[in-house]
Amino acid sequence: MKVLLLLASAAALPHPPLGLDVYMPVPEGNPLTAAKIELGRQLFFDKRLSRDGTLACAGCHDPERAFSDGRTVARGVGGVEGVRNSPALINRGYGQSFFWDGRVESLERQAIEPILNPKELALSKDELERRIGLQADEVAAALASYVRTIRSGDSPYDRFTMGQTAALSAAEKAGLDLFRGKGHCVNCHAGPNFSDEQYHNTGVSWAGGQFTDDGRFGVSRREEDRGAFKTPTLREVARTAPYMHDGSLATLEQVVDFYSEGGRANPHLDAEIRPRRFSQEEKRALVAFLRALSGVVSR
Amino acid sequence: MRKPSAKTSLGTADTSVRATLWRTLQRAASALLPTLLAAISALASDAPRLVLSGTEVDDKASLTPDGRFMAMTDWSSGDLALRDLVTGQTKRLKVKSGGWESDDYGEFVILSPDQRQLVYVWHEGSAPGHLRVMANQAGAKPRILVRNSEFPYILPSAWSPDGKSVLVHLWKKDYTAQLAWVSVADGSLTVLRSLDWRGAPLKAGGPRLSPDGRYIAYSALARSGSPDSHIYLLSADGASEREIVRDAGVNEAPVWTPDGTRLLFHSNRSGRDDLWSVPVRDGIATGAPAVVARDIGKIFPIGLTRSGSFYYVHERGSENIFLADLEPGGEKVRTGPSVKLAEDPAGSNRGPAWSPSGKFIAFKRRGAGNRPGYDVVVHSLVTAEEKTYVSQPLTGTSSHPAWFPDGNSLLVALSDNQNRISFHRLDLAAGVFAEIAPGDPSYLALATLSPDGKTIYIATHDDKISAGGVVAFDIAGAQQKGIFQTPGFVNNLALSPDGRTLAIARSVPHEGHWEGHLSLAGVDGSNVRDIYAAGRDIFGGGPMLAWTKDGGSIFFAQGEHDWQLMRISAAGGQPELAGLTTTGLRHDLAFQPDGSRIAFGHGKFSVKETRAIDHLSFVWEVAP
Repeated sequence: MKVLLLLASAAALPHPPLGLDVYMPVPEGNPLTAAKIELGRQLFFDKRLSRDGTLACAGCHDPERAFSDGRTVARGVGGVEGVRNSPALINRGYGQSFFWDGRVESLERQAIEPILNPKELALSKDELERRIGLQADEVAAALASYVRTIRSGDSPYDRFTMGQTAALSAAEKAGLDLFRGKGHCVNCHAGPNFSDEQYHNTGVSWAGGQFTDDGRFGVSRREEDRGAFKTPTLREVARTAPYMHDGSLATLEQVVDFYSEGGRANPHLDAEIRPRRFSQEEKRALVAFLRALSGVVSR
Repeated sequence: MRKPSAKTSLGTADTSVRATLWRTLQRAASALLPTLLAAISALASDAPRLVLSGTEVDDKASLTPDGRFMAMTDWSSGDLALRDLVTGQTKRLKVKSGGWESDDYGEFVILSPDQRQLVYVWHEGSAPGHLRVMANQAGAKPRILVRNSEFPYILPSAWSPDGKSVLVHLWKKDYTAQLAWVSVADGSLTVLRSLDWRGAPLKAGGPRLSPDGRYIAYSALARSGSPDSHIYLLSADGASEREIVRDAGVNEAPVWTPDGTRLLFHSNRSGRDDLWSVPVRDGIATGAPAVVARDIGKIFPIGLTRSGSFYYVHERGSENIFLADLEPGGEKVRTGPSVKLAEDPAGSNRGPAWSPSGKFIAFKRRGAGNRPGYDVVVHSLVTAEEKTYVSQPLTGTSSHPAWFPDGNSLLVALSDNQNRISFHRLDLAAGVFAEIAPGDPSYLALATLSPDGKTIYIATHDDKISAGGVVAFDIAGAQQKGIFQTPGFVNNLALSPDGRTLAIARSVPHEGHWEGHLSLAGVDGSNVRDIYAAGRDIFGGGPMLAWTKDGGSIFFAQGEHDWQLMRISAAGGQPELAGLTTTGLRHDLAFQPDGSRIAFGHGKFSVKETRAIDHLSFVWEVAP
């Protein structure tokens, strides 16, 4: 088709996997080029980006785990633990804000922050530039370009929506119905990337009558954002355990149980988080559907 | 067949004058205030010309770029048709033979650039429409391009210049919207842009491909739930996008000028519904928007011809609230004309509900301009003052509100971006809508409130088993229980004055047709019985159901286009004419608390006209 040929000649980004948009917002100041993407890919796995040379970006964003790390919370140089779970770095090119609290609005800023964070890769800007021989902005631009190419799609769900009705099993279809209907899951996990890119309080950080993590409030300073976190993608979710911003739920079954009971009551619980009282069969169907969101991760 | 009206006396000379004026303004634009430019530009346009009316109007029609043909639905039959705008002749394409003996119909008809093919949406029965293509020849065999239940709406907007692809906008099952190309060769779909629930304004004019095929103009909500919509330019290959109109208000329904240098669009930023223009080049706006025509009203754009005629469909409703006195005893409407409650420029008043004091009537009125949904209006019968309550981001439904016993708040049904109905308490003093029954896919926007204001009785429908029902929702406990079920649909429900019995109007399938049943049920689900069963679907024409003040009788409307207000004893028996017989739409019925009057919604179907504003070529014929 003509429009696709035009795209192929115009951009370094390959055609997206089934289920994702052709359009991906790319800042004018950092157009995608094949050279920059390749540089970013190399840097992503380059342990020189950590102070002690033991970690790379891939240390917390392992391609074999859909670019997550399997740990409860992220672990930086010297084994220092952070406070939040490493999010899966898939389809972030479609994102509008980054980190669990959305504190930065560009992938470029997101890419550089963990390198400079004392609890993560813990490098100084000068040391980064000295080691790599590039300006920090150039490193960020290359890493962001590479991250834009990490995309997940072509899952059984995508094939089903494009007309292959046998691509989902009966249980997975029942799960999809619950996801859209009784569960109200789609209200937050919306669109091709299963995220509305908004912030919601599910009560995960409410314990002992207080919030253990203020989440979005730390950025917006709006009281209603206290305890709210950005909706994560559900693409490849079967491969990105443990779950929630703090990694406190080990399995998808636990996640479904959590929402079935209406999250955890707190002063700012999102209006969409209510007891749904799923039956055991419904819970199994939902988990089956969530597993059908694993597809092909391009990298 | 109605011919297009002859050219007005405003001919070439006038166009030239306008062009000169416009050129002068454009050259001076950098030095002039945009408001001055807008004001003078507005003076330069013609009054609209009536093109089509009645069943010849199709708000989803399209124009060929030369302005010669309008591809459309022939609404007298459901067939596709091509209208020659020069000769005024309409040719049916005989996709279906006959007329409405079959419910099948086509819509969103678009001719290919070489005018050899048509793409359109075809509806068969109650199934979602699917995308078809056929040769531009009467009786040609169509080919299905896309038929996928995951896309309940797949609406074509344009052909690519090479005729190999069709631009569509999709609504998925969760009501999220996408822009995509469909290959004419194999029906494969390439999604360019997902808009989530921001795509709702696509209802009022879909995406438009630039004449050179390089850019797609579309409108979408500025963000999910926003009352504002903006206009965007997406490159046709999906590689880039720009927001080109981002001013406050509803900015929507973009249409390209034939040379691709400007977009016309509808905007209510001034507080009125005006037609605006914005210059564009290489996918970006190159100047500020300016008014082209004032007060154009609620419109559905069709297209702009090379000769400068902007075709659109204008819609105006004629529904209103009427009051009628009852005879002593309250069993019949007193003879004489009903009184219209209030004049409404939009003609879209529905669903009256009388306040406990009898001094106010709350009702619904469609949102201004192209804004979807209905607002709540409270009208004082003492002072005739009105106060309007807007529920955004949730959309107001057209169903009647219900007064809480305190007389200071209303129960209101609202719809979210997935068409889920939720119920809210509107505090009339504060103007705040507070959710009391969360959105549920099974809820219909039909509910009544117990006299103590503690329980909502909500009509439901389960699509999977095609069954209706009623649930009792306890507001304090946020719990509900089913109290009634029926095959088919619940059309309306009304609670007896003592709060113990529900009257339920329902349509029930029976041997291939629908029958209307009026049933009573205790509010605990007990003692369900029919008090009237008709052999035809008497309730299909619209909801109208209320108990008399003493609880001894029930008023209901029966019939469709021609309808009668009937009264039946709560004990059953044959219904009697209650003294009101009329034609047209009907919406809800409410008794004044003292039982002396009724208020009811009534009107004709909204009036749509295809109109054209001519001589707009001055907008683009001069270089900015």
